[in-house]
Amino acid sequence: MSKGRIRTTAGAGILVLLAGCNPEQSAFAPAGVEAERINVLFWVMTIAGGFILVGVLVLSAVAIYGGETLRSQLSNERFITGAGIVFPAVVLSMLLVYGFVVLGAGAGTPPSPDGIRIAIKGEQWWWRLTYVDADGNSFESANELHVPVGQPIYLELTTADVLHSFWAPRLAGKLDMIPGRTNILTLTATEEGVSRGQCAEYCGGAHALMSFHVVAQTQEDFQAWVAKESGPAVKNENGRAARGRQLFLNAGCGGCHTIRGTRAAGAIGPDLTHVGGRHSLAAATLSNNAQAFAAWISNNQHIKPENKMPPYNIFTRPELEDLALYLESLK
Amino acid sequence: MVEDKTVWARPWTRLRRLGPAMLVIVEVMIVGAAVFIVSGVYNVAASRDHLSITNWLLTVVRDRSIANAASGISVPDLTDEGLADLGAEHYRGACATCHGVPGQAANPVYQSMLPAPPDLIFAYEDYNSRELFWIIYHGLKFTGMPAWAGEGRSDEVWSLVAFLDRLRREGADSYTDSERPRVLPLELEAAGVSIQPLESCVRCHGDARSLPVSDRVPRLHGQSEPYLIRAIENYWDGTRQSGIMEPIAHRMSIEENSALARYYAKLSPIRAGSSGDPAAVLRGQRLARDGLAEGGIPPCSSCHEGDNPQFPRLAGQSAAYLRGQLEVWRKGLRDRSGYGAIMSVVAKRLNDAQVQDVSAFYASQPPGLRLKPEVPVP
Repeated sequence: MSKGRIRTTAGAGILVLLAGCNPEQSAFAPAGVEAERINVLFWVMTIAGGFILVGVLVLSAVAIYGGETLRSQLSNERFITGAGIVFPAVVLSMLLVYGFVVLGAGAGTPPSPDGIRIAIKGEQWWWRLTYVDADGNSFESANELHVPVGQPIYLELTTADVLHSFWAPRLAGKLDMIPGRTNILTLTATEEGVSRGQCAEYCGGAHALMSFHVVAQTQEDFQAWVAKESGPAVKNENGRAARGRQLFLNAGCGGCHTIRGTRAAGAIGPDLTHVGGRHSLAAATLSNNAQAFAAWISNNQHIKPENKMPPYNIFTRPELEDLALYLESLK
Repeated sequence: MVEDKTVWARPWTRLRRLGPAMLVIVEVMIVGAAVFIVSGVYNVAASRDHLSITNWLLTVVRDRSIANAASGISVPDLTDEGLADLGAEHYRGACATCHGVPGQAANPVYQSMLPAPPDLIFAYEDYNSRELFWIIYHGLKFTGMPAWAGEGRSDEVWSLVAFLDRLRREGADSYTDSERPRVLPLELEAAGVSIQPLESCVRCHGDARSLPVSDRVPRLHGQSEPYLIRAIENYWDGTRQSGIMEPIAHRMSIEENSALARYYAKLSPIRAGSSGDPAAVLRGQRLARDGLAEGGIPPCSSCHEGDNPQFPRLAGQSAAYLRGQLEVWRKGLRDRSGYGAIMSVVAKRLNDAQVQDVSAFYASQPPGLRLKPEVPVP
């Protein structure tokens, strides 16, 4: 292999590794209390484990290459008892207690009484989110989790079909969604920003296309978002979007999707009332714009094979564009 | 010479003599066959019957082949009158040309074919139901009997077997007596539609005064015009499969298609008495109106009771027809058009009971059923 080729290969390899440094979905860039604890745990384990490994290597080198005096000290019975039995027992016990504390930490934080509950249901291959406030009022959304900064949030994790696992690496550890069970995950965002999460348990062919965005925002922004998101769909439609709305209602889309404020009240697919306002489409598979809507409607079985939506090839190109513009306008 | 003699004397060399002798015989036969084939001595004329040995050979090969191929086929209930009625009308429109009216002297043109199309009143003397099904579905090589035109539509073939079964049980009069007198609508003749395509429609689907001939046939009365036009277009270009409808669509011009669709769309829907099991109707209503979200089944009403004329109206159709079409989708057919592809996904999520229930519900409803117009939620 020539030098140039080695350089190219190495360069490409480094680029791939660097892509992993994108903090959008990195557990090394915690933005939540629970993720912070996990991050500290990781570094404590890695650094302490590193020191112990180096220590063992040094002692092994001494045992092999060291002078007679050093070696006799190593074979001393007191040293063996101390470094071989007492030290591991103490260190492992401490780590165990520390691990228990970190593991138990989530369940220990009580949610604030005025807090909002969020039910997240994993479905092949997207996330159904239901926000329930203290008074029991609820509204549905999909594929995007909004949380207020500084407030512990209860997530009730369930599944509609197979095992999924909810993982928002910048906010908390992962927790499985198990058929027939409700698992509770608590998370507390510490800084504003948009991060990404994904299903962390293989759940069928399109498992890799089952992601989501987490939007952590200030209390005020969050309340404003809840007020808007819980309301009906916007009406400010231009001519083309209005035609798109008619197409949506006439083509039977409402059999599976809900758009609050219209007669579309389907419960099979994601709620589209404010779909245009989300950060992505199809569970963080496509960017959110009219072209992506059009591509998804007519070609969804190629984008995400075996998803539940039928292929819709009944629209002319202008009709498809109108429909896409309407959906994009649902901010 | 001396050497030869010693060789001749050995016993195994007699066998060796047999080899070249047989080689000579085979060569003579090959050359003879080649001369026979190339010379044109053999007479292929239909006017001259086969040699009796050829006849015997062809008959044995044919019947053994049919019996073998048909052995695994399971036979549905053939005493179903709706099935036999549809079969009789398809026979009248398509098969009678060659096979003639059962029990009557056949057209001399087709009787001059070799083999001549048999009078099917005797069909059951030679074959059983599954063998007749196989013959109609797959056709017979070198006989003029075509395979079924609708790819995969074995369900339609059984209507003809049921018809033949009734012919056996009730005789030829059951066929000749069932022909209905028809008065063709004058406005269509005025609109330039020739008699034949209209006759093809009315024969099974009925007209202003009559219902479809069978519960296996959809009621076109008051169906939406764009949907009817699209149906014929889909049969015409092979998007939709049917051994009965494809040949009929093939003969229709675009203008005739529009005129006939307009004619049927304008007819007032006929309420045909249909009372299903009330419990099934109720279950079907729930499925049709609410769907079943956990099964991924949207409400039927979200498409079929709206204002969009591209979706067929199901209310008032017969349960047998609705069930039959859902079965066609579940078998993986009828999914080549954009609309069919959508329905295909939904139909495959229905189980047998749900197909029964939802068909019973729409059959029990008055034609013209619609959802209430949209009331915006404040």
